[in-house]
Amino acid sequence: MSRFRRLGRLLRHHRRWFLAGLICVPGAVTLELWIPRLLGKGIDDVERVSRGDDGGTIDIGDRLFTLFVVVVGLTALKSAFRFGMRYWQNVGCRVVEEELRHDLLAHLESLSAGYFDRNRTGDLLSRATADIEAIRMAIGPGLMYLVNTLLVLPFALAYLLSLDATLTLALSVPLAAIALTVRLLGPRLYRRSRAVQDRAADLSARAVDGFQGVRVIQAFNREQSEVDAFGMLSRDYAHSQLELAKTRGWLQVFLGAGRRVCILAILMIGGWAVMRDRLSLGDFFVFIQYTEMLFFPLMAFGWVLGLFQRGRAAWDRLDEVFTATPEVCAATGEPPLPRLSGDIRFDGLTFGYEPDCPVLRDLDLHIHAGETVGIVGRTGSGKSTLARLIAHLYPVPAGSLRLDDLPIEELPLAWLRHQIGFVPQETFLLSDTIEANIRFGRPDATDEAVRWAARVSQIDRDIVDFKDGYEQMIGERGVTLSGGQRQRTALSRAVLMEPSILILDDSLASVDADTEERILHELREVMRDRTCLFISHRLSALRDADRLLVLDEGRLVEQGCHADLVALGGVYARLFHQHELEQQLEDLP
Amino acid sequence: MTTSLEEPIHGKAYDARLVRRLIPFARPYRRRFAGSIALLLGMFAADLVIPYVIRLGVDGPIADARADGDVGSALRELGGLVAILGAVAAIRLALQLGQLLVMTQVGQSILHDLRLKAFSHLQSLSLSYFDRNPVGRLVTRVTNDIETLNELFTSGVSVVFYDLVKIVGVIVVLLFIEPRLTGVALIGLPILVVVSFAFRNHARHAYREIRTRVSRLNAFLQECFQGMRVVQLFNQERRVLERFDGINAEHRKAHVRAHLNWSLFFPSIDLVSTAILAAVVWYSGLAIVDGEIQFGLFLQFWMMLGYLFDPIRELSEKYNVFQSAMASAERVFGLLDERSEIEAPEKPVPLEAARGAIEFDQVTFGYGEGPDVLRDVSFRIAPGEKIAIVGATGAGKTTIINLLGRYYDVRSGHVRVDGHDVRQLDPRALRRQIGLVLQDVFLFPGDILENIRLGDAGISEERVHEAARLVGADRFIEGLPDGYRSEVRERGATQSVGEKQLIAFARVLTFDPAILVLDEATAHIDPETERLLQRALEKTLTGRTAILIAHRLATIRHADRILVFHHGQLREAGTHEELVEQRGLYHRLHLLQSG
Repeated sequence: MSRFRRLGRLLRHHRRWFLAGLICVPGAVTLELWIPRLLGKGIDDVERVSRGDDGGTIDIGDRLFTLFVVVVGLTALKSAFRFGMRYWQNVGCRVVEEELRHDLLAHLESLSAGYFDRNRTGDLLSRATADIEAIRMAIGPGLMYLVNTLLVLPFALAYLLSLDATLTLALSVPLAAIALTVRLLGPRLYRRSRAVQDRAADLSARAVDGFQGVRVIQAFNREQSEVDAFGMLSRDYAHSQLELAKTRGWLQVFLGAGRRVCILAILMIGGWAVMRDRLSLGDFFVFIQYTEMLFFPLMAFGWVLGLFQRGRAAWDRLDEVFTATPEVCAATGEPPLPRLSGDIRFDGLTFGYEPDCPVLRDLDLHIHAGETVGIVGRTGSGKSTLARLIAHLYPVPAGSLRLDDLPIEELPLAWLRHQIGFVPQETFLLSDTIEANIRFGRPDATDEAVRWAARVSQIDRDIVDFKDGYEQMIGERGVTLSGGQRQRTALSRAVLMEPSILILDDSLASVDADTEERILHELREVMRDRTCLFISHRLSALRDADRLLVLDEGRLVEQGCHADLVALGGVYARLFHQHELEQQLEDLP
Repeated sequence: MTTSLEEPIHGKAYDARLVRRLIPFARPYRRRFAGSIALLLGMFAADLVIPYVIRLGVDGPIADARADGDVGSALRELGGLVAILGAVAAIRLALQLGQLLVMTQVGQSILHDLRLKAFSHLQSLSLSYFDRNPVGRLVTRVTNDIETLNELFTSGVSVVFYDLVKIVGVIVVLLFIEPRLTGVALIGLPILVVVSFAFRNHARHAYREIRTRVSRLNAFLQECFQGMRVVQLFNQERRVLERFDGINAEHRKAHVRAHLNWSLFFPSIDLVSTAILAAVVWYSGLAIVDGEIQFGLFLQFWMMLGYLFDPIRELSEKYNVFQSAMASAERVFGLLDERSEIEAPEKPVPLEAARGAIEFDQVTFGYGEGPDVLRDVSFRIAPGEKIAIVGATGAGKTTIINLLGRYYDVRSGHVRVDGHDVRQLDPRALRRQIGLVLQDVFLFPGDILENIRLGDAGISEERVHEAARLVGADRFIEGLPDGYRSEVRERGATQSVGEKQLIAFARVLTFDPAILVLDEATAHIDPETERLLQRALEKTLTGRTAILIAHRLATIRHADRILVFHHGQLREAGTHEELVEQRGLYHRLHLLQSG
């Protein structure tokens, strides 16, 4: 049960909404049960007067008028209670839903990069939406109807028993059958609606295939067989819907039958009791009203149980996220230094994303503060991994990576990252103004600083051309930036941080070669005293670096300045030669 | 996920133009529609009978027994009525089940027809359409949008009809039973209608607001999860969370407003209907005392009023269903109206035994509104000739394949196969003559066998085995657990690039097209597979015109002639030796690749 502790705490915290809602329930239920009895009494009065049993003591016009006023008044009161119970309960659920989603995001934000490599966005999204929705349904309508049913059922039955035990016992058979039907057919209903969802997923997966592969499908004249395959799944889906409808239909038939049997029993057994004057017409009327009233809670019973089951499964999925712990462990508390100087040292570091599958092997490397280093190597040689480890995105073996001679795990994470400007390969921009995107890491930066960072990243000229300048919205609801513009925007964001260590992970690939070279040149000026790590597939752009590191299959195989490495005639020389040829070809008119 | 991009709904609930277009889809099922309406009317009749029988029971045997004390005969009479009631109720339930099943079947059949029509229409559209429309949006059209039409067909049309019949029918019957009592009930009815529709209006606004908020929330979360690494790198966890709190709160408020609406709606409706019922009790009480009506009639009247309240409430809810159905219909028909940019000619030139002569005659082409990708390109390939096309990335190599198979039309100039402009040929016949072996071979869901014969049951299994053996694909296929019957998972994720290419070569041999187009794999391939691939290529080349987009020298060696493309233009042509001699572009490319 301890896994529900978080939910329990949330419910306790917002208990006033739930309590307000729950307090209304007894009021609503009492009135609900009382009003038919008042009407029944009125009918009895009418009966007495019309038979002349009252001896002329009842002013029936006055009685009926009073009854009308009282019934309408009490119904108004009941409506108020019902409003309160529905509204407050729902507000409570929505508040809990909101907070749960907040907690989920907050927790996810604390998890390490590895978690997001393993869990796809779509999956996380469905936990944050569909699963939380299922939980809300369980604690909202689920709980509400449960309480309602538990109150209505015993009181209504007790009263009916006091009126006529035989009839009540007779009625309890179809009523129990109704509850049982819902309970028995419930799982099948759930299974079949799951089947509908699964078939729907198959169908859209096939549609995705059919549209993504349309070029090949047309090339091989496969349109017809694709349509046939899609048609088959579409038919399966339609069939699953029909199966679901059948279950629903039978459920309706059983419930309807139970209801009709109740009416028949009241007419027959109740009629018999009325004939023998054991039951008044008014009570006969109360029987009809009460049985009608009992149907819903009884049906709700099975439904509520389903809601709870689904809510529990959803909670388990959510709890998986909550119990995940960050893989990167870093010290908290006061930073050991006011600021990093930018000295980086790898001591025999071996690292892999999966155990037994090292991406970097036995890395011994010392990057001095203020040094500009270029990292080169083929795809998959470990360049990006090396960069990511410096930002402590992934955990490293203790003591194998030191910044300013301090083990990275002893540096508070936020403090560390505040001093690292990291521009990853894939650009991530918010659907917001371009200025907000540049300010991303330093919301308090001055306008001058923002413009300076944009200038350094060579994005300022583009921004001036936008209709709204720096206020230009980008993304889905604004202009679409080109790949190069996106990358330069992401760079300006890192530049604005004025970091001690600036890392560019092949982050200017979509920028043309000349501009990249100009940007890197400018960066070296601006970042003169800081450590810079540049990764680029354009080797010529890195030529001026103080030192080049050549990685091959996770090992540092060569290092030195450009001229020395070319003279060495090894991996770098070959890579560079190839790159030069490529460059020449591209430059040909 | 698709919801995040969907535009909010605000259309009409009834659009004659769209309804006219929907009718043809419903027409094949008109008998069943009629049947369903007949069933509904039967249900309605049964609904009318049940309260009447109760009235007969209460005013007949029960009242008689109380008057004369003859319980025995009264019970027999009551038993007879109860039996009738039971029979009517049973019929009512059977009709209800039948109606539900018939309508579900009709609805699902129509949806199936619509889906199939939309999907096959999309399959016939040209590639330029797919360049413009993201896959996600198209999938939404053929799934969600069509699904939304479901309610229109199943519950929408007939239930609205049924509800109207019910309202009018019940009022008529009530008037017939007891006009003055009906008058009392009808005083309250307009209030009920007004309240229902007022709430419906609110509900519509609330619903629209919720949709907007939900899609904003989803979009933000998606952005967040995708960009989590950057958020963490820039220490923006707290600020992102604060922004999310705003969106999250707006989302809650929208829902709470809707809850407010519904929390008021049901109790209000309850209050109005109870007031009507209480007035009926008041009036009937007086009438009973005066001896004008009996208790049973009052009971019948009471039960019938319930039949009146339900449809009024339901009708107001149906409005939303219609509105979103119309919006979906609009989008689905928009898709069906899309014309393919590649039109097959009305009288295509037959291309039975193609020889495989290819000619590009001053071809200029660009994608969409974009710049020219090919400029004034002319070359001829004789039947049986092997041509290698080389050039740096972006030189326009793939475009040549796209134009040859007429996936796009040229901006100017002509592409000819066997002397006929490709626009005079049936695209399907044309593509039948072009065998493709692309870099990333697309494997269809299904087994290996079907991936080689591509669902053409006219091709025997033996022929497939033979083709696989010729290209040397038999070894790895037979090593699979189910051999040729092994299922391909997720577009061939379990097969290596080389294996997939071997399958593609086997396809070509099976279908025996006049032209082979090979876009060689650039990925790393182990020497063993490489050897197999080269052998497969040799086998496949014999007797065919071939265009090889070659990345490796080994492949270029098979070519009779090499065409060198650069920035969308044909710059050099000749044999390997001639071109190396020229010391131009090819020479440099050659150096690059051998480096």
